[in-house]
Amino acid sequence: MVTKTNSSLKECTPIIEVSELDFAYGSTQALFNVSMDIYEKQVTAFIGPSGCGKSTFLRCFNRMNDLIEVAHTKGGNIKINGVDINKPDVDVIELRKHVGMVFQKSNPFPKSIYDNIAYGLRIQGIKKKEILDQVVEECLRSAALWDEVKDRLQESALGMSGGQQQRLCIARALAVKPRILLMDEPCSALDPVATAKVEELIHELKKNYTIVIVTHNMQQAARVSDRTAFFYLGKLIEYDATDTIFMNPNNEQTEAYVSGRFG
Amino acid sequence: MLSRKKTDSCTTSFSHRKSILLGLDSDSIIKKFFGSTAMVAILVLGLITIFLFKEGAGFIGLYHKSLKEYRLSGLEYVDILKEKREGYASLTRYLNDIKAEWINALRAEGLTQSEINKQVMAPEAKAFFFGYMRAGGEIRSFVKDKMDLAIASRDQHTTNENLRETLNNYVAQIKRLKESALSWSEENRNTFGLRLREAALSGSIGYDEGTDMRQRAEEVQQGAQLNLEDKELFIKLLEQEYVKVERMIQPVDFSITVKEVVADQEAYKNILIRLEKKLNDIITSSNAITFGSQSITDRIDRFKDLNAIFFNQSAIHLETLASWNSTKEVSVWHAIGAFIRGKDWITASDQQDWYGLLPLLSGSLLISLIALFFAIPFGIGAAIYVNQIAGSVERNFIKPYIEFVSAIPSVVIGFFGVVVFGEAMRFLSQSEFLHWVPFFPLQERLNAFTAGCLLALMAIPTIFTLAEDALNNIPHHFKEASFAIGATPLQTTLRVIIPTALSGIISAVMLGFGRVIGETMVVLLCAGNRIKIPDFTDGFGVFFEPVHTMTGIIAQEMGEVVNGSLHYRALFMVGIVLFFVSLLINYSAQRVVKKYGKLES
Ligand SMILES: Nc1ncnc2c1ncn2[C@@H]1O[C@H](COP(=O)(O)OP(=O)(O)OP(=O)(O)O)[C@@H](O)[C@H]1O
Ligand SMILES: [Mg+2]
Repeated sequence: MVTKTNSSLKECTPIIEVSELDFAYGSTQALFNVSMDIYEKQVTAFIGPSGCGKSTFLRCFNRMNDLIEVAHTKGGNIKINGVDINKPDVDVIELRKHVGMVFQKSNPFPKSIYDNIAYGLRIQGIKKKEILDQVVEECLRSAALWDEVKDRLQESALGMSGGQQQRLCIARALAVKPRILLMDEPCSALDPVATAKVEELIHELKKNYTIVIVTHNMQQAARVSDRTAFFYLGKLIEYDATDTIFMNPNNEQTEAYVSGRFG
Repeated sequence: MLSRKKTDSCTTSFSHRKSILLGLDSDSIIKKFFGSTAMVAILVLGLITIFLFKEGAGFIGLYHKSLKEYRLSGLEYVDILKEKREGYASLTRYLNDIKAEWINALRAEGLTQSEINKQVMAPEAKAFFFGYMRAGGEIRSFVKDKMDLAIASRDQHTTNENLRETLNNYVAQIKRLKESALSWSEENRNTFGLRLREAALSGSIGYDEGTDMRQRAEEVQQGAQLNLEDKELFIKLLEQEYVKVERMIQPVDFSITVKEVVADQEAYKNILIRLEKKLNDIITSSNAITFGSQSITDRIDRFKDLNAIFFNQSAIHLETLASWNSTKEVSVWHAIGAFIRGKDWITASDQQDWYGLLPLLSGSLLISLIALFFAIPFGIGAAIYVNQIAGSVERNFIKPYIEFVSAIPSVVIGFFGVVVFGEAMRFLSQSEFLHWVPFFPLQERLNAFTAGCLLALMAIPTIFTLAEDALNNIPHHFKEASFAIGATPLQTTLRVIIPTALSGIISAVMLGFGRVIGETMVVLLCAGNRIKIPDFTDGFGVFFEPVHTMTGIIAQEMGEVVNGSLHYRALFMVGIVLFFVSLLINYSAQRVVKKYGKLES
């Protein structure tokens, strides 16, 4: 069953381990018995038709679903670095510093570019200007944005282009030094050029971060990810190396979806 | 069957739109309706503005005229004289104060009434306290005489003006009668009847044929047909009346009367010198009195100093009087300035009416300040709590209740303020355990603080609702972004939500301010209505002084003024100021929202 393509994947340590997760919004269940491991310093893509629960699943990793009153985990667990994140004694603030997130719609704060990135440090009580300056530059460099904005750091972030704003959001997420970066359709509002830039960035970030990305764009999943998971109606249908999913899927539904016959 | 139906409907689907009314279809009717409502609103606003300005505009001219007469008649000069007299009077009051304190001190020492009397009524004490008061008889009567002179000429002048107005009316009436045909208005018929009766009594004028006038008057008032003769007689009667009134006018020439007012400056100077000498003698002789306590001796020393200051200023005072000139030009700007910077609002006075905006404006602002001081933290705090912290159960409970407060009629709130709040405040302020508060106990139950607190109650719903809306309008994704970086809810609220909603919150505060400054009923009932600029040197005590407001004065006095009089127009001027203040507040609130309110990228 394991084909040649799989060998391109190094055997890595799992950083997120999900086992038999059931998740519901009130009485409607959104995820059914999902188990999967996500590996360190790899890009994992989630694909699947609209409403199949990709975002819900992604938001479980940093417990963003806590903000929704009716949302709750019904069964199973998620371990990050071996710790069950749904245990009551887990500090969700620490968790979110560890697991950063980038949203579908770029959402910089209505502050200056500098303040957007410094925000994550300031809320931790870091006020030293040298440290802030240094981190801002570092993060903007990692987000491949430094050269474009270094002369207008004090200008409002809302004056940037859509693609720049999205990369700024990535830079902002990096400022608190997360290990894992969750991206929910980060390019869906961007034009092809901006998309290419973000994809390049993802490629670059992979060296230091574990990335989980939700996308509707098959090519994008194929281009940027090492592994791909296909969801359908709240269930994980197939999860394998990206090449396998796209060239040689095991499941008929996966086959049909990636070849564009439904979805 | 089915298919046929389909084709049928196809052929009719491009026919004309259905007309409902006057050839208009429903869409355009709705459009017209709402368009016209907006037009009506604009029209009404325009009319109000025009009306305000039409009624208020005459004020400057009338006030200018009034101030000119104030100077020409010498009343201004008299007021300078009165200042000196007032200075002396307040020194007398100060001395009485000391006496009262002295008596209290003696009583505190445990002396009986008769023992106290013995000290206070001792000859040297009596000479001091009473002598000081009596010494001023001369200056008092001098000022009074001058004042009477000035008032008399001014009054005569005013009377003359009124009489001239009456004469003008007669002229107009006669002219109208002569021109018009035989159509008698009901009013003319009535006056004619009355005049006939009067003429019958005096018997000076009558019908040519000797018709009995009393009988004719009866007929006229019962509605008899009136003829040419009647008309001629009426005109004659009016002309007779005209002559009578004209004779009543005794022309005043201010340039002559004022001479009498400003005369005797040398005599006045001597009065002052005599007064100074007398008072100084009295004060020196007072050294013989022993007051016992140090604090009273200190006050006596202070009194002596004040006395010295009072007489040191005499030279300047006399100089001012000498250089005063009744013919000095009073500019229109002076009149405008006297309104805008005027410190007094004195109406229906026998000397000079003053229409100064400052006491009212400062009262309104002081009350608004107090109201906002309470309403801003409560209103915004509640908005933040409800929007960011409270769960949905609490939210659904708190929100309607706060908004309900705005449905309470303001007169009810005012009533509550007078009966419950004001009373409770005074009671509290008199209680023993609160005596450490510097301005307690309160003298007045109704004061700026009472009104301010109640207005705060009315402003809270406004500020709360608008601020909550502003917070609600913050896109959810800002909150998510902040949480995703590891911010706590509190950090998110303080660092992201509030700064982002700040423009909305500021405009909520400004509209709350607009609400407060325009409120009438509560201030009328609870502010104490004393027309005086609050004494800002009094520290916190200033908040507990009774004040009057711009809205209050209009509501209170508008019902009693003569239409078109100076007082009437002054109230309209206050209305205009109020209108502009509200306009400015609303405009800046809108500007704030427009300028800083762009959130979406
Ligand atoms: N806040 C919510 N309250 C209730 N139900 C929700 C909520 N958010 C999502 N759901 C439901 O959960 C299911 C999964 O939604 P989710 O947003 O995870 O899908 P998705 O795969 O991300 O879809 P898309 O590709 O369109 O983003 C859907 O059926 C949706 O109706
Ligand atoms: Mg989604």
